[in-house]
Amino acid sequence: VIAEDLAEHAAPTDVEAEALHRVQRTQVERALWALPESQRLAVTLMDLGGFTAAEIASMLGRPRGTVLAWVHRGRKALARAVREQEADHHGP
Amino acid sequence: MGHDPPQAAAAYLGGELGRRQRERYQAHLLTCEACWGEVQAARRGRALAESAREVAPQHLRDRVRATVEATPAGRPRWAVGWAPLAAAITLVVAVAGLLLVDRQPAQPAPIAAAVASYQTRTPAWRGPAHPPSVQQVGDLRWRGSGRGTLAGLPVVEHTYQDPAGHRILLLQADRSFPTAVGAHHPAGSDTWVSEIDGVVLFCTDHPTPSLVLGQDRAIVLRAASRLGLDLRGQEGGP
Repeated sequence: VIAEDLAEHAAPTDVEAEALHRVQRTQVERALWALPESQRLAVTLMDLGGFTAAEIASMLGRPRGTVLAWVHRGRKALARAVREQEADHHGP
Repeated sequence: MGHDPPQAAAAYLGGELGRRQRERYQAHLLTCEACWGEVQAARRGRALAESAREVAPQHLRDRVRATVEATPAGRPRWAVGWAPLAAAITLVVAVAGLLLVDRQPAQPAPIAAAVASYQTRTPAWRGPAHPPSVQQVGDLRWRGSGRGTLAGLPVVEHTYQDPAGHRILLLQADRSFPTAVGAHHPAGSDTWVSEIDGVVLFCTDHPTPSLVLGQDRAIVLRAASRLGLDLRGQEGGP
């Protein structure tokens, strides 16, 4: 009975969480594609691809400091873009 | 040294600071609103990006590594002129695109690297190669050859193109290419055909291990036939 109760209560929560996650993922993907190319590459390769700054620097033939700067600017722009999307969604 | 909050935050979050520098910076964070804000904003951005990471499973990361391995190495790619720069950007953009949208099954790394090389027009060349014995395949004319590796598999690569812009890539190796996942592979045959991300692949071991890539199935199979490759078991073959 406890297991059934758990299942009954867990299902809607999971669906809700999944729906929220999908919305957020769509927002993130949209925001990523709106970034300048260098920042999008750097953030995608580091935060989605799991590559280190040194590996990305080697791939792109750019200094590691430049890659770090792109990642930093890209992450900030991503946070700002998602915040703005959320603000637009919720309205004034 | 000047006070540069973005640069300092990038170095801190990128793990570039030594232990003492890191401790000094952490103490500084408590007193500097600009640096604190930089670190918090970047952390939020990183968390958001990482939340999308589930669309980039391990096989795609392996695929990126395999693809990057297939690019010409040596000098810094952005230091040798615009063409290599554009090729490097194109390649990584394509791969980054795959990270976001790809849902296809994992392919063996040499196959994934071959497809990426074809799609991005970035040859896997690391050195010169002899021209092919067949330089005209129907309307397709030989355009160039090179020697390289695809995820560790040494290959010789020949490019052909016809006046209409159709392009095929002939890759030849000393050992068999791995079979693509989902390939049409008739029983008793050494050949297979597959389509990956809009690229048609024909592969055979006879007379020599060869992989032909193109966008049009008929052109790929016709070219394979005219190149003297064994098409038995495939449509259009004997």
